Amino acid sequence: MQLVESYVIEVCRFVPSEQRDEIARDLREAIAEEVYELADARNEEPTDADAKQVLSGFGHPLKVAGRYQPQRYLIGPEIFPAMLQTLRIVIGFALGIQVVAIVVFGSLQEWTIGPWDLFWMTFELVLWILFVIVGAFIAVEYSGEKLGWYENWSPQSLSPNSMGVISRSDIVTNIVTGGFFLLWWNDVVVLH
Amino acid sequence: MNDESIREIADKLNSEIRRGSLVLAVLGQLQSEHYGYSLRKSLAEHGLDVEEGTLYPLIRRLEKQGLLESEWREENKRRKRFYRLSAVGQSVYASLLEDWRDLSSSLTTITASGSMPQVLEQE
Repeated sequence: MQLVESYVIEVCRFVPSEQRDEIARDLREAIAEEVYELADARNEEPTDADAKQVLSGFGHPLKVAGRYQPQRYLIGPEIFPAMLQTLRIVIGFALGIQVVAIVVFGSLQEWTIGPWDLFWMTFELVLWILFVIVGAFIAVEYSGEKLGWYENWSPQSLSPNSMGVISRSDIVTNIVTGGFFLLWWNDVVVLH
Repeated sequence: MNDESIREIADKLNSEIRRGSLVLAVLGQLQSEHYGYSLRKSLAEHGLDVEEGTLYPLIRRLEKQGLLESEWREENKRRKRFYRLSAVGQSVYASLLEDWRDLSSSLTTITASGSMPQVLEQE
């Protein structure tokens, strides 16, 4: 039954290599069992049609491969909000520092930058931050470590005059327009 | 919200409930010995249709965790792998069952205390 063998190979491409042989053997047995039961019900030898029917019952190889391993996330729902929070803080700080740094360099060294270059510079900065922080959180998820800040939280840490929920797009718009204005005001960004 | 999206939400929640209870069902059935196919059939006879692609990986995981033990034997001229609860599996099953019964009785009380939701009729 070439069909079954192809299916088993397809599933096993996506399971952890140290379990591959065992899973292949288990899966082959399971499929064979189902195929023989179908054929036995008709008192005949198994056919390709039986194999096809059984394989459709098993479903897509990737789905089955997924079920042969514990549920895994790149970044799971538990730490995902923590990642967003970290990104928000770090990107906010980084953009602030970038504005200050450009203003300082610009005024000290008579250096200017065009809006397009500024855009790319910022884009690259944000991309790097995303890369590092997302990578770090993937590592945390992979290691199975619990995040200390969740355990050490207490209601006292809530700020009483917290401003409530500010829309994310408002913050981004403010940072971008504010930063850009500051740079233009200081004659660092030259608009021509 | 139309009927289709209600169904969609209900299906998703439903499959979450079923996913968790499937382990209990499999452990329950494996108090007596079964091979893969017969286990699937007997679950189906009790109204629990489980896809092959879900059941066999689950059996393997449970065996890996030491909850099941298996043995190869010949039946009707074919070698089959028979599974049943191991000693550890028995204890885990007993504990799961107790939790399940508590949960089930809480849920029965909670869901019986109110009238049936009216939302669908209002829409």
